[in-house]
Amino acid sequence: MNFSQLPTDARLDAACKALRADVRQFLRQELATGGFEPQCDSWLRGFDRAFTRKLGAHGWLGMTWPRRYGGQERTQRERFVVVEELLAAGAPVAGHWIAERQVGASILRHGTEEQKQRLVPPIARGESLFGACYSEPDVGSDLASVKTRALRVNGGWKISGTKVWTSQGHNADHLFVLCRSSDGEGAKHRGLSMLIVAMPAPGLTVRPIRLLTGEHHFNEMIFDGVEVPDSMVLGAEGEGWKIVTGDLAMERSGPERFMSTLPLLGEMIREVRARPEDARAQIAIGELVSRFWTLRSMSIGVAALMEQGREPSVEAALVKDLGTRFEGDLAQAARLLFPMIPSLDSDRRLENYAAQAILHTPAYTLRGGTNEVLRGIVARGLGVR
Amino acid sequence: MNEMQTDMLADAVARALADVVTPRTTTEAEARGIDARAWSTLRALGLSGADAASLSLEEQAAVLEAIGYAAALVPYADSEAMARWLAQGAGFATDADEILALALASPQALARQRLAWGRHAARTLLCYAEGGRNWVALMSTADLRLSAGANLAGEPSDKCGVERAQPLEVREVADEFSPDAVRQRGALCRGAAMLGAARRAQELTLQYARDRKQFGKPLAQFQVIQSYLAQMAGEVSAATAMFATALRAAGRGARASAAEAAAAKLRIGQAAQVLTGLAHQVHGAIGFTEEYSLQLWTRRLWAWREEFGNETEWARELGAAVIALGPDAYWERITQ
Repeated sequence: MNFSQLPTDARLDAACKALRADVRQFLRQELATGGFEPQCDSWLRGFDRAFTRKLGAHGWLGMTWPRRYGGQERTQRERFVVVEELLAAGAPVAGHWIAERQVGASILRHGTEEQKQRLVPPIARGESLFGACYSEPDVGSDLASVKTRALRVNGGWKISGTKVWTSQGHNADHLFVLCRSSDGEGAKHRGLSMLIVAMPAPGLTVRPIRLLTGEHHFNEMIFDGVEVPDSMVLGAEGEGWKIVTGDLAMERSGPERFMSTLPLLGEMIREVRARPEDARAQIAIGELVSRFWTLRSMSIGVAALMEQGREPSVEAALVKDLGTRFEGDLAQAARLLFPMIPSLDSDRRLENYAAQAILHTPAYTLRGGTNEVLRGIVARGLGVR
Repeated sequence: MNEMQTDMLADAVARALADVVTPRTTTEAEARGIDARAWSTLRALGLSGADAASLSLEEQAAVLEAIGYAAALVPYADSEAMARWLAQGAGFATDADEILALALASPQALARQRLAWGRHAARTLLCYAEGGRNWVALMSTADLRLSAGANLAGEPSDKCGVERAQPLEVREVADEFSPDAVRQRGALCRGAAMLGAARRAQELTLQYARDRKQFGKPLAQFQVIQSYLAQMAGEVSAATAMFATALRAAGRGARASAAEAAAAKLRIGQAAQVLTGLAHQVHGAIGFTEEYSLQLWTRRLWAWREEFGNETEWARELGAAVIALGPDAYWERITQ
């Protein structure tokens, strides 16, 4: 467990400051012109293709990637600045989230030159959105047990099986599909491959799995002999487990794992200004801010480790365990501090955000690896597992 | 001093203390209210008088973390990292060999005041604000009519027997030595020592879970225990990360880093609650005994979390500051 310190670098600090000012200016402009409606959990529920394209046009997607693949060759720290500003503002970033956070980097790491040139630049432009097809009806936390088959056919593969919980699968341009391509000689971590499916794909049925709110973000993806050419296999056949674990390290390490409900904190602060001497409110806000500030400090440490080329999966698991609990606790603190009726149809923003935050509470400590799985990863890091 | 030199200092202190401090020596020292051998070891390293007062806050924190980790019963934080520094700020000459005591109180309001390490200090500094200005009063400790007391860790926390006393001398001090600034420094000093104690309690628990067998296997192989150990690691990491942020901000001066310091003492206090609870739960009954050493660190965490502001006090200050800033400026402040 080593949370690295970011070395101070005056030039980079200045660059981050300028970048932050640019992003804030952009967000203010968007808000002023009705470009988006802020919301909690905007990286799951805020789908807006036009907004995603605007971010691409500003060079704020795939910022750390090489220029020849559409990136900006900027640092992890700079990407962190953009990501945290977008999340704090509750901006609609769900469209590109999977593609920008993990798919692009995975393709850059494992893809062929042809794949990198063809698939990565459109992600950076915000024009190619990805859905991740990992979990299955019988396979949740035990991801290595996937059953979806990829069968060898002439010049490629044929996928059959069912995937679930594919966020924005109904809007995606491509899918990242973890398949079993051989029996792996009895070891379930072997014999997995990562295949990329271009949408629309004959043989693929996309069915909504509605959230308990009725919202449509998740999908069931039923593959019935969907054909994929060899050129769309990422990495070598059988390398799927390596790819997906690297993918999950990126999926678990970002500030979205503790910022999903942060817009609600801003509203709490706004409303509590009417009662500045309320000690209970001061204490509640102080506790939340301290926890947030701590998580942010830890997350910057994780970004620093990534910048040093390390894979901080244990540190990321720690941040996500603490961070996702914070997201739920924030919603709880809000409802106990204010007399209110949380409701999605309220025109009082506090009630509106509280409703969004409460209704999405179950997701925080489940998605991207349950907190129980994360603690197992930490325990392994401690050497007791 | 750069980061590497600070690490070397921390290492030197840790090694020197490891040679002379054991759970047994600390337990025995409690009766006398000081571990004289550990104290002279620190002095032999040059950590006293003007040399100690001249260390940066990063360096003080490194020394204090090592002291907390060792559970050394020494007045370094109060006498050297704080009172000595305050005496210099006020322009009072001190003797490098004398222990100094410190309280955030006016000489006119000493009723129910406690004085850490007071019995060992011939002279005491009182820091207070009056008439919109900041003052430091130099007192003869004998005039405070102390009676012996202790905090939860068994460190001297002596009780003043007078309501007011006549200072030997009073000086006005600059804003950086205001009672608020001193309290903030105290919070960081206690925070640093708490990090050391927290780390030690975590290590002990991890080792115990590996060694202790029940139902035919080590405790560490039970999933629920693994979950506890992971939570403990999370709390130590969280406290460490927030403290590092506060320490880095401290370079901007007390006022400009008050929010970070508040967040740090608060977060470390929260971590202390989780850590002490889980450490004892994993240890079972043996951890509740005097003979087993875990108590040296959990009692320190219980004592230090109260000193220079507990979680509620700092949460309220931080919350009030954030509310005053409002929903946009608070975000700018955190990300500055």
